[in-house]
Amino acid sequence: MSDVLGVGIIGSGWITRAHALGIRTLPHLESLGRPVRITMLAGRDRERGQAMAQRLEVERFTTDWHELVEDPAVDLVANLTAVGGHREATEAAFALGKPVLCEKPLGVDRFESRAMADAAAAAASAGVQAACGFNYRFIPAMRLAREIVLSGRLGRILQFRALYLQDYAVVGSRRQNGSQAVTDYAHIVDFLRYLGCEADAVQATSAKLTDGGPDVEDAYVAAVDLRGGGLASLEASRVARGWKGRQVVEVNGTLGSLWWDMEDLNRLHVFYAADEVDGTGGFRDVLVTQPDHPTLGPWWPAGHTIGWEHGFIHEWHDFASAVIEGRPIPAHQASFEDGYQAAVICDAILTSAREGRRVAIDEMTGIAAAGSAS
Amino acid sequence: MAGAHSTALANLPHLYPGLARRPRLVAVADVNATLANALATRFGYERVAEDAEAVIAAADIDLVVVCLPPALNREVVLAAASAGKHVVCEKPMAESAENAAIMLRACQTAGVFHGLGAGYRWSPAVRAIGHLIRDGELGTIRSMRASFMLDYGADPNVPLLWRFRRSLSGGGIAIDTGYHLVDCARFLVGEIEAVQALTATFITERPLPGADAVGNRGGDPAQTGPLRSGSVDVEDAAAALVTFEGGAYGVFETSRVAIGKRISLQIEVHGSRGSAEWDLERPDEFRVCLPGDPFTFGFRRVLVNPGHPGANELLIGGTDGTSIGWLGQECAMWAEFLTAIAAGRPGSADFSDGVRDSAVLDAWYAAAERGSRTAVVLPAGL
Repeated sequence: MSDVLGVGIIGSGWITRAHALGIRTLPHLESLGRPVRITMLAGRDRERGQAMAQRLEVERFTTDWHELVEDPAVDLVANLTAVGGHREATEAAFALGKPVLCEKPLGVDRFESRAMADAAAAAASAGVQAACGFNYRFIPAMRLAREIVLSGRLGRILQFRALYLQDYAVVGSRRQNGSQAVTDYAHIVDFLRYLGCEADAVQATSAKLTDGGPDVEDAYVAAVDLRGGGLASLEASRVARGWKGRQVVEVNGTLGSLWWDMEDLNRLHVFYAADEVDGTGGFRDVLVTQPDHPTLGPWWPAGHTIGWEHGFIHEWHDFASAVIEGRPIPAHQASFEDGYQAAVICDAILTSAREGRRVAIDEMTGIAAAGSAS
Repeated sequence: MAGAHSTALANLPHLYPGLARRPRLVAVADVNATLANALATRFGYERVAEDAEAVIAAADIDLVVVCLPPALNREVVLAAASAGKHVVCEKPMAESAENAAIMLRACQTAGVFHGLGAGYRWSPAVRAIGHLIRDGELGTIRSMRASFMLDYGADPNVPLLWRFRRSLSGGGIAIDTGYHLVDCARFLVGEIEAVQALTATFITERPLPGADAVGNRGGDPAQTGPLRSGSVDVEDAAAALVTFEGGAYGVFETSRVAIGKRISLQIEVHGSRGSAEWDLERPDEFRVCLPGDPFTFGFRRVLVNPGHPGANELLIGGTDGTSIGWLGQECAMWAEFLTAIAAGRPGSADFSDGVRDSAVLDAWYAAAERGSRTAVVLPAGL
């Protein structure tokens, strides 16, 4: 193993640029002990892939992901291609003892995600790490939200709600690639679990709201019963005119609430019932830019905001340092098990919307799943 | 403003069922008879009076509300006071502190109630900030930033209404809406000692208004025949740096040519312990930052709730989050005035406030004219 931790990236879509930026910004933070470099890029489309490699100043390019996974200069694989290409390359990397950071959604459905999570568990017993790319977990305001929820300061969580609204499918020329809104917007499903809730059952409806193109849903709404008695709602759309990145996440507990909106991502709005004295109760507008806030120590003086890409930098910081130090990924980073749990809820939403009935999460796991797995 | 006061008075008995004296809308007068008739019909005034003298002379009238261009207030207020009528005068009471002082003395001599129509100090959110300041929650006040931006004058085709003519208005946007900044500053922070200022006029000629012009609406200029124009002799925008007794300073800005700002009043107060801010576009909330846990330090958005001073009666939904709106502050003001009249005590915003507000405006204009810091001077004997 060379001194450099070589990263091989599979996939040359726009998300590759975000991950590359994250990797290349690592030296700005504390030293990880080994330099992290992108050593190779793989993409099915030679022209597009080579252009991306050139742009990112990655010297070596291949159209064959096998070549990348097997290359001795690749110590770690970033699997950023479309979901259909996740499983095979990931398992090939594990077989060679190489850690994998795989974009979300982890697998095409809960069955494939389960197989990948099992493969990751086997890899973990050999000291090989795996992480699923839920980048929003690393936004400082959401790290803080998680700390507040887990600290118990909001009391018992009664309700969770999340929205993810965009209008890209009806604006401009971006073409549908056949992806499903439910799994595309799995971020909000993951946030439900990130903020301490577990789904028990789902009732959902979805709709295709664009003309032509693949027959997949553009929007959905879901009502979720939480384990322990709470309620949650999830809604996502790619045809909500005017909204570009309205990802709103809110939690209501017995002692307080908090909410966040990606369009103002440095802010966390926190309400503590205990503040409601002397007429000054209300949501606190917390500007999450202080050096003592999560991930912000190595960044700017308080009040200087960070951007969307910050999540990728810390996703890579935490993953690469786990790999370099030979320890498991931190609890706030999404594991393949988290990727599988998100897939279970997404499948429950899709099943409920298709069949028009309440779907229990238990029905999506265990015995029923084993019988129908292909 | 006559419509706003009428609406507030008409709603008062419903909002304040325990009011010691219930208002009865008796008569309305206006040089524009069509307007007077419309107002009487809409709000149920018992009659339309011939003119102001007829209102003042009427035996069944106890209180006169004066909503005229500032330069016309004095004569009506003096006549009403000498006839023994209580008076409420819309702000700005006068073109100068000297004239405001004459109005104050006349009311004091006659022993009648005098109330100043400075609505924003009655907004429950502004009052709540005032309470936080007086309770020391914000510590020693160090600074205040306030702006009142509008755009009703941005279009050069807006005609030469009374607000653009010194002979009626007594001044431009400073005396019009800068007055609110001064009154809120005095209400929240304290008396102003000195002023540095500037004023600016961007549109110097405007078409003459149509005969049917009302308030900020110019009517149809074509009615006056061939299009003619006249000179604007007052400012479109004004700014001031002020110092308060007690060491705080203030930064004020107001304009009627700020495109897109329909009516934007924003106030921030910063103290040694915390800060508070309010925005008229969201009138039923304020933001406050107080000491606390450093991890979740930040401004809290506080919705006006029934526990805030003057808010309970106005929150007709019974809870915070149901909103009060601009009218509520006028209702709160009238409830206080009628309660004060019934109790035979002064109102908590009266003509002596009007004199002090005008003294600051006098200094604002003098400072802009001289280009140097100007002390606020009260008329002799006050």
